[in-house]
Amino acid sequence: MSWSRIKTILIILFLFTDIFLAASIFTAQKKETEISPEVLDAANAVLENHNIALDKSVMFPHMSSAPILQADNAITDYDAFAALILGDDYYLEAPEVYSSDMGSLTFSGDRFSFKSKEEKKSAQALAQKAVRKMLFSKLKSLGFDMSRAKIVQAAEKGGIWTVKVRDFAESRPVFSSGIDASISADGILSLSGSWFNVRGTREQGGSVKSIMGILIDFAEEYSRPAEITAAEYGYSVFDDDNYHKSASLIPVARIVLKDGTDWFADARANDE
Amino acid sequence: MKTERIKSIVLILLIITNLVLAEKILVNEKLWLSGYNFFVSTRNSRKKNNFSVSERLSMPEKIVVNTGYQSSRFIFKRDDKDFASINSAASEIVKSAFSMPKSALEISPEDWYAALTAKSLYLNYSASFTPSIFASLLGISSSDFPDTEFSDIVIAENGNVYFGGGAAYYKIPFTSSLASPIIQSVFLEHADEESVINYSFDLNFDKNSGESSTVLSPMILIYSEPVTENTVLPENPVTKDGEIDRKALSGILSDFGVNKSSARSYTEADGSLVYVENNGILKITESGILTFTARGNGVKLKNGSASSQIAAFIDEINGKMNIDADLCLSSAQADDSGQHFEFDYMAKGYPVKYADRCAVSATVSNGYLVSYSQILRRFTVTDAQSVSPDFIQALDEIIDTYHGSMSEMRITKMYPAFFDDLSQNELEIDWHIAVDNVLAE
Repeated sequence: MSWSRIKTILIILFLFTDIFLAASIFTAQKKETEISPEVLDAANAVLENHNIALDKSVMFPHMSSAPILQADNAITDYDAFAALILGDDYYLEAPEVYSSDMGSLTFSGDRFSFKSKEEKKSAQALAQKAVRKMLFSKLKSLGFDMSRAKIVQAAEKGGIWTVKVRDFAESRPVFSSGIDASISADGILSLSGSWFNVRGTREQGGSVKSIMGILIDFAEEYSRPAEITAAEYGYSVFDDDNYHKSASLIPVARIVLKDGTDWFADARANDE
Repeated sequence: MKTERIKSIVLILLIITNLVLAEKILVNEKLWLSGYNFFVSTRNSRKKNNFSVSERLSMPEKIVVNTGYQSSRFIFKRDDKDFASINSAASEIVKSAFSMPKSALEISPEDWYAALTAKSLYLNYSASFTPSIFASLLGISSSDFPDTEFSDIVIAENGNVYFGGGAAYYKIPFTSSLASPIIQSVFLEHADEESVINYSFDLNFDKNSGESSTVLSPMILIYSEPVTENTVLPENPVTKDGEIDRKALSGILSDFGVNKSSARSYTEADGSLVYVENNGILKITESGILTFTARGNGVKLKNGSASSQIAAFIDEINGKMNIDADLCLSSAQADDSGQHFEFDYMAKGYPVKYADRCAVSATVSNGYLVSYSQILRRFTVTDAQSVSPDFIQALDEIIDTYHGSMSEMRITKMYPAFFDDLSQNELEIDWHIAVDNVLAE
């Protein structure tokens, strides 16, 4: 048999093998992202037993594994942050409460809340683009990394914009990095939230719990009737109560309820 | 020719694609646990510690060999070259004596002092033990021993074993030929020396004399000369350039159930690093204090008695942190919540003391580590020398400090020690003095 013929046979062989392998990978990935009807029915049954309703429009996100991200709190020091936002003439009114002629600033763990003392004079609303520019510029000046941030909600009423900004990492929202702002043509009226600047370093991470499993855990823990309107994966420090100079951002699941409240769950699967 | 060339290129491309697709499938199968890395595992294999806690768990803090005269008592510290051989012989005798059931007879303090002042080996322990805990340290079973606590053991020349140091004293009649050669060899080796070491009871310092007085516990050694010793330099292995070095800690995380690749961690305002896992919270401060608090059961330890489990655990941590320091058991207690152990670092044979805490403390419950705390430190002996204050001078100073408001003072412990204030400054030898609840009028 000539070498040319052998090559032809090998080409056909490898072509079929490649097609087979590619099809296997594609099918496996499709199976991973889809939730089988049996799993869906079983989950629904558990939710119903606990008086948890699932809105028909809920999209089930998929995340099989996730790295652990390392991030630094944009608020490195309460005093330094107060100087940035209130000016150098700030004073400490009470523990974790700062004031100046510009406004008042309170801290609670990683979160801050700023209210301007300046009154809104202009009724004319800014264009959303201008609002974005003003807000992003202000947050950058406070040391927030805005390179991956997006406005996730924006509404205008009576010349005042109410805006929600969220940071993103690995194409997922970072729930510990979110700012609620109210802005008018006169400037920024209020800012509140927390922000972590994601570093380039990360840990390998591991598997992530399926969204169905998380919904079932939620049903068992929540212990009162509720309706789930949305569910998504993201990242979070997962500890709001204390201040963290830096922290790991772990994968979490966020469940949104009809009453407007959020419920967060640690989405890391414990690989034993 | 051209066709053949194209066919060769196509074949090579198909082979490469085949390998890539096959690799994708193989990696996806997850051949090992996430976070596990074989190469990291071999690199982290523990370096053997010269001062294995497991091997030194039942060692006394010091041994005093009484060759028969008050002026010929010799103190052997744990770092002295002859300590190991003396302890080995003493340990054999003690193990055999404590293995004998129903053998302990209560004796009077006078009998105890008589045994001490005759030719004997005196083993002084930092911790107080019940006979059952002491037996577990020796790896033997003991039963039918009196319900007492002791921190001192005396081995008479003929092999009789005495134990006490608390409220009562006991004797285990025993015969052994191991003690006499030790006493004789120390006598001969130090025949030209005069070592005047008295106990507090020798000089009646343990008795009240007059209305306003200070008493010392009878077993406190009275040093006739100040203690001269090299200074010791402590090093915090946890920080680098003023911050906690996560790499230095990465080897021990798994010992506390922390999965390094998926751990939830954060840095507190004071720079402390905290890992939060389902089984517990691990915190390391910038000053090198590591604490672990269990959530739920805690960390499963290897099989064995609680004391051997914790000793093996400490050896594991110290090996991975390159801490080659002697650790002496200073407390061993048991209650409903588990067994609690405390250890002191030893440098040049003397304890290293800290304000308000000990070097290592741990609680074990049903084979699980429930809490753990360690001041992570390495020690280097320098060439510089330090001299302690005179014993009596140090005693006078402490009396002056407390006596203004007290009518009676009881000094329960007084011995040479180093004091580490966590600032990593050079440590000089000084006196550790423990004063009992003093009575204020």
